[in-house]
Amino acid sequence: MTGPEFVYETYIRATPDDVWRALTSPEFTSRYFYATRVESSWLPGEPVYYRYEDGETTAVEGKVIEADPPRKLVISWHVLYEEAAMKEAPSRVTFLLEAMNEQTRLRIVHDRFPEDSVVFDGIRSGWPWILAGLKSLLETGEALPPSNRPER
Amino acid sequence: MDVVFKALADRHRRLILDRLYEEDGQTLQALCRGVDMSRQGLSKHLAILEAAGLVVAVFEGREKHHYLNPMPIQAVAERWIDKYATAQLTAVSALKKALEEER
Repeated sequence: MTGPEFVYETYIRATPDDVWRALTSPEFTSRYFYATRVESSWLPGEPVYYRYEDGETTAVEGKVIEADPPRKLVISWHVLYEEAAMKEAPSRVTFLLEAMNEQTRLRIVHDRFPEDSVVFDGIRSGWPWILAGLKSLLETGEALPPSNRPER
Repeated sequence: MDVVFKALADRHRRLILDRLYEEDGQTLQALCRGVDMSRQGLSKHLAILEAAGLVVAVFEGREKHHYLNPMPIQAVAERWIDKYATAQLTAVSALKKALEEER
């Protein structure tokens, strides 16, 4: 294993199609993903951007490595929201969706961090909050209040 | 949520979560070195943690790696802590606190 690696798993009362849409549509991400709008064609090799609502600054950029809707999405992850992280090589995020009973099991694996990564500590508190917001949004129509958001 | 509390209500299992917090993705063998438990006891505790969703197992070839999954604790935090306390308490600090009470 190279460097740290994180795995998060949550069950969402929604179909894999709905969870996929929530992961890949800007209207959804703006409500649970640090108010960023995701932009991509979701074709392998194409870029992915998580842009702040001003439409100009980008929080995270990456590339689509693999997209198999609504089961698997793999993207590279280059953090731009923090000066120190910008110089760091991209890591990798894998979203795995699986229907289970009436729910979808969503697993996120974040790995391939470079040695001495400055990104992963923030990631550790960021993903649980994002995932909880996504779950809440799909199940209740409401995301979590931003006041509960951890610092990046 | 009962299974989460039940899983957390044992100091051995909280110790296992501590060890995974320090180094995520450990195998049974690696975990065995960090805790004062028999292999068999450790396996049993890990099964309970997995059933509660607090540990997620990922196979790499024949090796089974164990990851701390904070999402059930996040759910507990949302259910109670966020309701009564205020904004600054994030789920992860709640988790950290829960794990550190042990020391």
